[in-house]
Amino acid sequence: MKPNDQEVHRLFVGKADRTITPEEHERLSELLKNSAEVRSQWFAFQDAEAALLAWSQREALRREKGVGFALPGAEQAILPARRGGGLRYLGTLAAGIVIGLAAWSIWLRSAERATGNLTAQSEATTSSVAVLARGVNLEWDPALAVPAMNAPLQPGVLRLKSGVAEIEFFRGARLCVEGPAEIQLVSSGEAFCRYGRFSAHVPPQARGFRIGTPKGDIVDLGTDFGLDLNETSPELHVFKGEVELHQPKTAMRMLTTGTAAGLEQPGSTRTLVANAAAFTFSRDLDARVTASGREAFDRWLEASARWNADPDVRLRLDFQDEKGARSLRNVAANGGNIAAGTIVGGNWTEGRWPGKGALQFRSVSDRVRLNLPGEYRQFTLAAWVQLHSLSTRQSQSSLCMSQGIEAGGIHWQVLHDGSLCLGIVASSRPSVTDDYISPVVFTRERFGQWTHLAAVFDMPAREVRFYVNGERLSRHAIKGSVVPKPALAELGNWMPSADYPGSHPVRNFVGIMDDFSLCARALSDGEVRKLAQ
Amino acid sequence: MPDSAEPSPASEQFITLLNASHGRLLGFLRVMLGNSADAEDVLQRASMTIWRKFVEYDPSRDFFAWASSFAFYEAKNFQRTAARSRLHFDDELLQRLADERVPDLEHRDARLAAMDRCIEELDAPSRELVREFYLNNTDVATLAERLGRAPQTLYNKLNTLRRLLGECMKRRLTQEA
Repeated sequence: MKPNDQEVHRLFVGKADRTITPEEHERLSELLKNSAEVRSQWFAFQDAEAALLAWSQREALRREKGVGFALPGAEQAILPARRGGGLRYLGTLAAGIVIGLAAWSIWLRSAERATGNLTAQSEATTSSVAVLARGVNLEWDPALAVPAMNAPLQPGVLRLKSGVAEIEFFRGARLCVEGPAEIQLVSSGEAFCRYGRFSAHVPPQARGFRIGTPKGDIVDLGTDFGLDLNETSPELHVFKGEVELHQPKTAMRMLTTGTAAGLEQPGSTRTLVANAAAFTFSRDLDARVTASGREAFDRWLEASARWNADPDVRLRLDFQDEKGARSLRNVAANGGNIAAGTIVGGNWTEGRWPGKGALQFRSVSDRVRLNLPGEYRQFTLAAWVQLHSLSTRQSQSSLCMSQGIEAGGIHWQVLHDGSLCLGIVASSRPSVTDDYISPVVFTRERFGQWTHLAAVFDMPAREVRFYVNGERLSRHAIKGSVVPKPALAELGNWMPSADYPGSHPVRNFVGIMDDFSLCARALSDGEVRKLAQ
Repeated sequence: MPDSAEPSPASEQFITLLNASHGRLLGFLRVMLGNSADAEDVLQRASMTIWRKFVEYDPSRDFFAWASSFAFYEAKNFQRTAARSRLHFDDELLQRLADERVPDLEHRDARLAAMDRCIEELDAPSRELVREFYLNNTDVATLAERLGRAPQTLYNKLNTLRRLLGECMKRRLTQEA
């Protein structure tokens, strides 16, 4: 049968977009084998695709430059600069150092983008200036930002309605904030405090840390000081070291250990004795963080017991096994036919709170082996994880992946761009996987933060759903009709088959996991939200 | 320290040669693998092999011809071992595509240049659609959700654009020939 151009084009885009069916693929192969003309069209089509991709990337770069954000190095990232970068890495490459290889791969990717005169800066960038290190009972004004614990903070305004937050600036200053308070992060060495109570610790490396207030500027010369910005009698208390106080129309004043000053009027003569008792919130923080961690842990224990008793939960790993254990108990009440998981390689560490166990996955050997018999027309996978890195040289990081590529296998993973993917193997020969891919979740800013992930597969409703921290992220129509059968599977890694010859692609997860469940039911939005609390 | 390591003359020569052949190597791999993501992955792997074998490279030979043989084997290997492996061309077809693509690559630059001008002829919303599609790794579902359109409608529109662009490219090339 002679093809028409329309059919040929349809097959070409199907192949390029990976939406082609096995039958169509068969047809495409046949056409390509039998017709020199179709092959020539295929070559031209692929060049056209390359041109469109390159144009899109150039266009995006041009816009980013135009808007002027996120790519600080883009102006100088023209070809010679990139080439120099490549050369710099080559010495390491020759020495066979793994870090060099990663840089090398980044360089190669950037080279592909360099189809025009410009190339994207190959190095990752961040505009963060501080990190939210600790906190208790935090209530942020949701109209502004609501930062997560350990979240990098970018310049901008934060309004703390209540609670105590500890912010560590990248240059080393530590600022404890008691709500209600408003603070604007300006840079890694400067903040503007509008109101609230603040306590600062400025180590020698952060000397020169500057705090602006509506009543004047404070430059810290390596100290501990407290700042109470209330309506009627704002005050600055120096507990240790020296602080410069700059107020409008008056000479700079130097305050030293044990002194304090009223700030209501420039040059106010109200001189006080520093009163540490007014700023105990910062010294109590340790104890309060511990206490609130204990409360959260207790709440988790209670919720945990209820979840384990759910008749549809087939596997629940709570990571509360005895110290040094090399297996993970299945604590699901109805999990009779799923045995304990076997730990290979991974090390025990602390989970979300003191007392909570967790497994750290670091190397390509780290994994938990599971056997998950049975078929699942509906299932929910849920886990608490902290992701520590993603490699551009590694296309996928396993959360939970069935061994090999057998029909019905489940591949739950983080893709290299930070999106989540649930793959259900549709056929092993030819090998076809129905992949459902979420929007990007793990940007660099989310590395190191505890994140609750859930994936719901619901065959009767023909829907796949992804959740992050209890909120639904995306929904996808089910593509195939194969009933999932996870069988032998691994947390944090993937094995191509039991006796795989030679090397195979690396899929290991780098991070921590402290909770994992497999439930034989498609949880509702509300149920997932509860699980993530 | 990576920053202080001096590149050897061999590595400098390698970089220059690989850099010059990079686009053609990708174009070579694309026709076998069908999409750019896989082609990029395979080229990254192949580059490691090519670097390791570089001591055996005879500078009087054409670098692309030499390097493409490693890329070819890497592509075959990739198809065998790719985890989320998809539908693949069989070895016979791969060999034929590889053989014919090498001489075909001399048209590549002209095609890219022609296409660049064709894109500029599109109206702004169509260009926007093309840009979004290729930047988002051809994920139509997410794109459709964001634009509040039906995925199939959007995808049809895109494929019409791709076809028109392909025809425009062909037209420009024959005009210039």
